[in-house]
Amino acid sequence: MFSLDGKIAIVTGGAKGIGKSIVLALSKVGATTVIADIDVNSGRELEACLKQKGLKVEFIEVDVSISESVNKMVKDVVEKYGKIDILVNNAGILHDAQITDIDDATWDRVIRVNLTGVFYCCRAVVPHMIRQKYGKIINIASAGGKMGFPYAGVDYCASKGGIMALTRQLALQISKYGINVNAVAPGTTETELIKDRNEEQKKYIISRIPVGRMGRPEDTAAAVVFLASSGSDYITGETIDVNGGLYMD
Amino acid sequence: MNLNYFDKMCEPFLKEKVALITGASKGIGKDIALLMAQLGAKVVINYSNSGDKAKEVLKEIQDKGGEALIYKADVSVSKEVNNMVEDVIGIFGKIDILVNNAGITDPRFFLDIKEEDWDRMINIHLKGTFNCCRFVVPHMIKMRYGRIINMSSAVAKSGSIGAGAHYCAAKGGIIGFTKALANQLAKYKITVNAVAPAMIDTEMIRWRTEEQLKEHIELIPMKRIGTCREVSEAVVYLASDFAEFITGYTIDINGGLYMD
Repeated sequence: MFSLDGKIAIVTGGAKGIGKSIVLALSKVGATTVIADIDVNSGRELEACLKQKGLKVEFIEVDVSISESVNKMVKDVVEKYGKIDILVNNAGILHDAQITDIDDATWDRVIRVNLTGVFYCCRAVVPHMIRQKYGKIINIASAGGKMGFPYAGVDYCASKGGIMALTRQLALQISKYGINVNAVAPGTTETELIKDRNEEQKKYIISRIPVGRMGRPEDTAAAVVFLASSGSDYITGETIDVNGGLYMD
Repeated sequence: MNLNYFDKMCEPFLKEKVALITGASKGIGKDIALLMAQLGAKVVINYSNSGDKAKEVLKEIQDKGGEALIYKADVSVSKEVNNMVEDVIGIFGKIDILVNNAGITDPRFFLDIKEEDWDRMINIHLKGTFNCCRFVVPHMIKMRYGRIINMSSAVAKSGSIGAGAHYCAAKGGIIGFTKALANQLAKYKITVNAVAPAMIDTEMIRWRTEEQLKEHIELIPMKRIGTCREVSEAVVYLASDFAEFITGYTIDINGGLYMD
């Protein structure tokens, strides 16, 4: 049911955290997966590790906040593989802050990486998917884009809310070509992004989650596999909440 | 990083699970039964009237080497549901997955809804879901494991000119019920979710004329109606261990007709 044999996938921010789990998941079910990341060391390390396990992966360096970098990455993938079936826009940064502590540069950076990066990648990939009359785009949003979210900065939440609106509008515009555009909204997930939070903060977050634990990268990765597979063929413009019941709409 | 977590995705990952699917003799329910059996589950095909069709589903599963049984029960009658659940527990020992799919359609303008039409609609969809959950949940709590998937509908969110207001009310009630149950049962490792399909290719949409269908399809971004398989795969995902962190959620399966 979940098989992605023969498919070519790009995962931005695929070198660490949720992205790394997504890369593992997609390649385990048969996709050839491009680890597209700004972190060359982590990216190459993951590539080597997974190749050793017999999985089809490749690392390509990219900065999603720079359109020329994105365009080049997409061009390289198409030249090498002939197509792009799946695009997972996962690259993102998070910081905890009150509004008055966010300066102009920080706001710009968070919006650039989290939201503009999604725009750049979709814009570069969509013409190929239209040509193919096939494509699955999965954007990683966040529960923070839907609800007041413990600790995170307004820049982070605004970017994630923007991702969901972009998802819906793009879905509307290109579904007639057989392309599905959806999102996943994880709740708080155990990754490097929240390493600066203390025990008390983590305890508070867990107390708000009915399932009784924080999310793990594989929870979101499984949802991405579902959306990348035939299971999502009639689903578009949708955001799947993977948050342990933290928020239900 | 657990390198083996996703290995099961390419295997029959519902092996050793027991699934009870209401209204499984036709349409979406039938396809859910077939797919779950294909993925290794023991399946209970509940039906209320279409015994012959239920037997066909049973045969199809058994011919492919799967294990299943059929069971007649009207989900709106609590005694019948009670008996069904007790008998299934007696035979299979447990119920891991409950799919509350049984339902009817009754398209009519609001003022044409008589009291008995309203009651029937609420009893089958909403009370039926309540009845099944009421008798299955204690067993899931004992196991500290459960997957409940309820059948809502796109029209519960968007309202609809074609579908009856009583249908929309019942399907909407199912969403509220899903969230409440999700909150209350999370600590027992039971997840409760729903799917909300729009136009799917089943008997239930046959009341529309060719013309009406064409008009409706024009409104759908994907420009087609959905297949049963496109719903059952979502139900199976929610029923799997891979969705253990998803609860209180309703997956819209509507070709882009309605996005929230």
